[in-house]
Amino acid sequence: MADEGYYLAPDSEKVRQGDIVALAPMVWPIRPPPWGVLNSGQEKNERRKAQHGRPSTWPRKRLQGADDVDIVVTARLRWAMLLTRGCDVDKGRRQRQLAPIRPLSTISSEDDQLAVVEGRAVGLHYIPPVPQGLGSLFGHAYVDFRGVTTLHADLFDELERPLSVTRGALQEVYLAWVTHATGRRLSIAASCPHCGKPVPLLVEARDQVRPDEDY
Amino acid sequence: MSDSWYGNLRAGVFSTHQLYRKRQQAGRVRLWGKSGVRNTSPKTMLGSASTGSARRASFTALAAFAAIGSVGPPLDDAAVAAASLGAPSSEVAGDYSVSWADIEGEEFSPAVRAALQAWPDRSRERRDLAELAFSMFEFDDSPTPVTTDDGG
Repeated sequence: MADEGYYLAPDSEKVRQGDIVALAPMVWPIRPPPWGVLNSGQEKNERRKAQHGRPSTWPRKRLQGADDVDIVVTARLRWAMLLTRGCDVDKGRRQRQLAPIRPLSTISSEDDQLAVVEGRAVGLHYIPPVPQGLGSLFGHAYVDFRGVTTLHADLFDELERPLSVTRGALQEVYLAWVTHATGRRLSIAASCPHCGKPVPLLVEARDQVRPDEDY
Repeated sequence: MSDSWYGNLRAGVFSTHQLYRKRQQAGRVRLWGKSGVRNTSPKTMLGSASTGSARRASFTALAAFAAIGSVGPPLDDAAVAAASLGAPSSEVAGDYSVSWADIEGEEFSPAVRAALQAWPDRSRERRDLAELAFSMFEFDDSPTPVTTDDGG
């Protein structure tokens, strides 16, 4: 059932959107209260005396958002897909947005599994098993837009990047991401606000983009 | 390469050895396991290839990741203890035993298997739709600030 046209080997030189990395730390939703690690001093050997605690114990500047605070978070090392566009990478921007890839089997309900596979689950985008020729790295899975984590480029660059997706597959992912962000599903036709009849907007566009051979 | 999730983790551990060697200098790796929270150094997890203990150490690391590998900022013992109070331990105990081999076939219901069989056709339709939709967007390459005042 693996789709040979979905995955490909990554560009060894350039990082590109759709690249898949191994063991990226994906952060779980942070639960209250966030625990801060507060250094008691600047000296290295004073770190052992670090304080920690709930926000009510944090220094005022941190509570007011004027200073950074190291917050203890829970993460899991996962396969993850890069969403940040390659041109942003090329221009030296340091943020790398990654969506975790999770096994389809972790969804317990049959109805929910069906919704993911059939593209009806906003936020969870099904991806097929990696074919044997590319290492069978994982099986039926989904990209989870709900858990996007941003890594610094320095950490991202340390991760193994064994796989990427084809252009068509990437466009599918981006379309799913737009659907997740807007809650609006793209349709081949829209309803006319006056008469209610379907207007085949994308059919018109398709004819413009891909005219018939005898056009 | 193994077709199991477990095997993939193992492959990842080897391939990200460098990451943890780097973090060995920068900080410590925090682990949640069934016995609670532990703060350990990457060296403990991975050992040293130069001493010939890489194989055993990799196994240790595999077990550690399987329990849950959580890479965070440098932490002291007090902070780790604090983290244990807020850690969702039932979640981090994890599904590390999930095997991709197990989820092929029999783990899915007939309805899901039928949907998986039909998926390639739906995927092609969605790709066509995406191609059309994105062809209607104008590419916007306007600059985004590389740095901001607060270091973001």
